[in-house]
Amino acid sequence: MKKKKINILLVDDNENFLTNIAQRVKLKGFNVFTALNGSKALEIAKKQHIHVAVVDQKMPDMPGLVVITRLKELIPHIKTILLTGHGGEKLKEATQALNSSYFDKSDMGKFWNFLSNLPLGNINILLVDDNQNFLDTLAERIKLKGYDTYLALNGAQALEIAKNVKLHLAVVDQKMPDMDGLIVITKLKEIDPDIQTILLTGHGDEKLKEATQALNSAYFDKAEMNKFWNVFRKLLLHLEQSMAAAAMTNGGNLEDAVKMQPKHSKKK
Amino acid sequence: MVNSRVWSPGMLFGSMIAFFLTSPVIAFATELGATGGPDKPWWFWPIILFIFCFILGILAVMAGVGGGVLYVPLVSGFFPFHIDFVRGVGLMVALAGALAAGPGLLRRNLASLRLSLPVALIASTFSIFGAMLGLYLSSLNPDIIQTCLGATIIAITMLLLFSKNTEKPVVTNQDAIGMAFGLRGTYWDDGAGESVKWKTHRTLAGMFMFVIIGIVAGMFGLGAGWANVPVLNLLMGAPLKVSVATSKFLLSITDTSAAWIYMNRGCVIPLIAIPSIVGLMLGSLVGVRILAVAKPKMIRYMVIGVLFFAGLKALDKGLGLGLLG
Amino acid sequence: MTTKDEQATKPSQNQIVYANMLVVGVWVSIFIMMVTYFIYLANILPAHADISIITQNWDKGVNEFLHATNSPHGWGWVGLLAKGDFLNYIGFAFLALMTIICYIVLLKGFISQKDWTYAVIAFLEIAVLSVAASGLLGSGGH
Repeated sequence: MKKKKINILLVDDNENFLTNIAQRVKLKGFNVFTALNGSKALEIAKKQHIHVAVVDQKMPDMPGLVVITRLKELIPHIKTILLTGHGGEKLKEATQALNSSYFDKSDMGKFWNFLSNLPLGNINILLVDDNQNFLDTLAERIKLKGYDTYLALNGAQALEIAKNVKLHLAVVDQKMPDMDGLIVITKLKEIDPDIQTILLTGHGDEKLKEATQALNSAYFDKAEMNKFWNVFRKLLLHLEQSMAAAAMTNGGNLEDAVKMQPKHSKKK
Repeated sequence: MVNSRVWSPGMLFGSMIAFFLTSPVIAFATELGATGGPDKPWWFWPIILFIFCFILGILAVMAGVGGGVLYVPLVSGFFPFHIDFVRGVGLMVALAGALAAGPGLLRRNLASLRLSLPVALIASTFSIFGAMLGLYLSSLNPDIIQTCLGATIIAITMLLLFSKNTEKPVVTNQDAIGMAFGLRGTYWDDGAGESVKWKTHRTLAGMFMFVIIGIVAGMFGLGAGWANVPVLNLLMGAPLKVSVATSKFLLSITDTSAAWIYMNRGCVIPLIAIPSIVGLMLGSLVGVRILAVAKPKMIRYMVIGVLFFAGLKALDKGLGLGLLG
Repeated sequence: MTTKDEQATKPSQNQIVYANMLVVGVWVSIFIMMVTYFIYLANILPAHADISIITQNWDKGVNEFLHATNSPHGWGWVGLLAKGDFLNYIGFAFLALMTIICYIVLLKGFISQKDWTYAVIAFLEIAVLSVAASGLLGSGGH
């Protein structure tokens, strides 16, 4: 099992919002606690070791900032996120904040496992959106990074693909005609519990930006790993070429050797 | 970056390097030969060997002489080690350098696998015999080996000075054996900006020469580039670049078999071997860097001069003349 | 340069495989040597033969040296890997085995290409190098 689960406390007076975001956070494998107001939140924090608190600013009993200050007194190392937006805006804010600060860390172990199970570079990514244009643009970008993409225009198609292909990552739009993105994600996870998912909530350009960012952060680890191997590979190549150049001096033509050096051979 | 085409600063810099590198080596080495012995603290040897081999590696590259061929005569001339260990470690040094150079040469299609394989089989087989013969002779009397080594080294200096390799030998008719083995190829000549096709001739005579090369390489623990190149180039008609690269790659196979014989006999002392291998390797890496800035011709003559001196010294030691102390 | 020429200047698949294996093998063995040498000199693992005994005897012939340092020949070092000095043999052996390993891969390549002449040459080379490495020939000293 995992060494340590991350406990996340969500504080908002809007019950709808709470359940919605809690569901998403749970899907990522975090422990979720919810509180409808500030005093309840503080009560929970006294009993549980909370790692992250997501707090709405506008609440009946006390403002979010006060809750955060008191939480910090209780748990000095707590990470806090203050939500200031309203409605859809707020949802986006929360999702993004959670994504950017916690996705990598919490999923590291899983991510390494998941990576070691595949041949390098052979990652299948499913893109689900009812907008064909958007799908094509995103697919093109992803292909450039060397991943394989599968496209679905709706939830049903997406699930069909997931049943036939081993997918590693799904990027799903929230608003689709047949079913909500969240439902698609839940079902995808039922089909393959190891799948990594990203939910898109923005619209138009906003959505594209969101998707690109999310993909970047999700694959950051892999890129980092490649960076390590690249440095290693470059070093080997450098040594290889230098030694070959050194060997070529034996013919007495030093000019050749100079030309073979790493710096001079890049043009090819 | 200093442009290497600008001659005057390049030459000035080059002669400075030549001066700084060669003079202390000779002075220091001569002194070592005179005073070196068991009275030094143990850490003195790895450090001195490392520095010595590092400079040797730089010089070897700048002079265009194989590091393996310099190592045995110079170390045996100036360090107190028995010739058995110098040869054993010398083979490991030459082997490491050849193995490290191999990949880059193969990838550029300069070293030809097809040309290497048949002659490597011959040379590596006979280098086993050379190694066993060399070890047998030195167990009878190390002076025999010293004398032969001295004579070989002097012959090598002559070869380095006077042999004129041909850049692109003309081969009109390939012989039957060469044809059967498919000894031909094409490489991209960076300098000329063209692809060069080549094939070989006089294959049988060339193969016979590798019997001798193998024996000499195994017997003295010398890298055999100095012999491989003329045989491949002048006798068999491979282009100079292909000959040089293939020769180096060949060493990695020939020296493997001889190195195992010496290693199994216990001639590779780690205390000596590792600073030598790493030092020479780093020296070569630094050497090619310096080459990009300056290519002083005089270094080649200086190194050949030192090599000649080392050959004389070995001859002197072997014959017990005592002329050089 | 025409495409045909371009094709011709390309190294064969066998050459590339050989190069790829060799470049990793060489530098790994050099790295191993540096690490084991450090372990040896830093006395992290005590040496089998004291350094002073080595420096006192390295001007003698190998048979005398082996006797003085009580060192094995052939593959006897494998039994002494826990000693700092013989630990260094891992790097040597790895370096000297690289050619054999690469040739085994070459042999497979030649066989799959049905290039029987070169398959035989590669096989013979493996045999020659294995005999040399086995110590059957080299360790006859007394």
